[in-house]
Amino acid sequence: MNQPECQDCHYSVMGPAALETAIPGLNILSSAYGSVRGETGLCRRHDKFVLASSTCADFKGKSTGDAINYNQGD
Amino acid sequence: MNEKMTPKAGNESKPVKSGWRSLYLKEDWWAIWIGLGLMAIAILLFKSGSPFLKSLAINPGGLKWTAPDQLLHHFSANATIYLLQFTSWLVIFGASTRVMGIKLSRFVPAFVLLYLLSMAMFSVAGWANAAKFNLEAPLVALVVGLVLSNTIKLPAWMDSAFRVEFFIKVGIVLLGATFPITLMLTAGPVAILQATIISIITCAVIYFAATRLFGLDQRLAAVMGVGGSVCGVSASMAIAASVNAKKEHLYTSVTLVVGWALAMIMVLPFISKMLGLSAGVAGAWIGTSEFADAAGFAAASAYGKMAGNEDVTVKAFTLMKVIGRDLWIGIWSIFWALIATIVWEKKATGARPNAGEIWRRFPKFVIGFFLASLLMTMVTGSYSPADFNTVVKPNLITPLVSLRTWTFIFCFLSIGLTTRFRELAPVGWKAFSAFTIGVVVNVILGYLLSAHVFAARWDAL
Repeated sequence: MNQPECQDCHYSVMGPAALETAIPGLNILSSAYGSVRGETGLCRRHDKFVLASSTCADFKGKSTGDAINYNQGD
Repeated sequence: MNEKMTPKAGNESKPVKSGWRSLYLKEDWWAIWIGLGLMAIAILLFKSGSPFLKSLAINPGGLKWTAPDQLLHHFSANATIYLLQFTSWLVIFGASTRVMGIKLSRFVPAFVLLYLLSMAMFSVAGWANAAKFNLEAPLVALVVGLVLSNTIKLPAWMDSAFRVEFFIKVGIVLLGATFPITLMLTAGPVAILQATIISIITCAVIYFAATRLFGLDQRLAAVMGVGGSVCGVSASMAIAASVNAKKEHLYTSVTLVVGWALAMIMVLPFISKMLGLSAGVAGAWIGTSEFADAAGFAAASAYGKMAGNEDVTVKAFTLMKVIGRDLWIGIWSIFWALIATIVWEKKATGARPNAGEIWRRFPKFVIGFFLASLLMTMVTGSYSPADFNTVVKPNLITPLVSLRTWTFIFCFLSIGLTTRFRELAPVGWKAFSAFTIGVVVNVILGYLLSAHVFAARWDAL
């Protein structure tokens, strides 16, 4: 069985707008909407950058109320 | 393994979820669709003999007005055209950002402000005495944006329309329309060589200064190193997952890159002027010294206007920055992933190297830049030089240049409007010092290469 990936984790911030909110100033001379970001997101549990396909023992599934989804803009 | 995040076994960084959706979710692709789309419309209208685009690509930047009445008359006489132009930009950027996920309810009001401010910037630049007071549109736009964002508290949601990177990417694709493909072939290799020398040395200097001199975290050192040598915060972001950087590492890079980039926008054009550099040499030097495309175009454009040869300065800058440096982001990402997994302790590393990252992180808008150049070469190749100057240039090239100038002004204003100093993270003296050492090396080495070693190449542009 495949291990669940960071992109589906409650702690991950993968949406570009959410990333720009999480890192003030990111949008000044860069952008979370650009290609160079690839599939990079932020793990709020470990405060580190991860790939959407990364896995971790601390995975926690998204709950219905999670506001931050992959590619969600606002 | 609580603190360890590992890539999935097998294929570590496969293009999950987005894949083909990148074609409409990433601004790089939108920059291509918009830039090439505008070019296609321009070519069709040109071929059909319609002056519509020529009329629509209006701006007051070339008025050379001496009394406000002249400016008012210009706006009242062309009110309908400006309204149509505003609507066109609003539809183009509003629709594309909406698809990417930005709410129109936020974008529209902020874009109205951006457009009005842009008209004001063009008006200042169109004043007959503007050059006498160094009131170059890029610098004025930057300063006005900075003053507004740091004195009047503009709501953060307005950033929805202040898309610095998106505007500059569309502008770069449009720039391709006026960039001869032959120039890329003849000057491209020199630009790549010079940019590679600079990038490797600067990245190494920052990394070793940070780790050996100041004992900083190697992940922070790597994030700062690529930020100061390749492509600013975008490059830092590109390798952040490769080295498993912490949020504060990127935050530090943001502050350092923004601080130094803004300082250099203000300083480099005037130093270039003081040193009497040719338009080409200054463009190459700015291309090696500025970290971010948007900041670099502001500085290059400002000096080009001062030197009276904006075209050449922007071309030299583009060769150095876009062709020489931006293309290598994916490779740097792989390089640091290799260092992280092979050299550093494995527990501290992030993604394993994956050649697919080179393509996934490739700044796709550069493809649009090449295609635009190729397309224009094919369309205009059959015209004689005389016909090109009398028919093609005024009816096709100049309107496209004007549209590009609009996107650049949107961008330069947005840099200022999004820079709220109070929101930037405080940076320790060690990180500041390590980065600054890299900046100094970068600027000096860039000058030597641009003004001496490869000067003949840049002077000949």
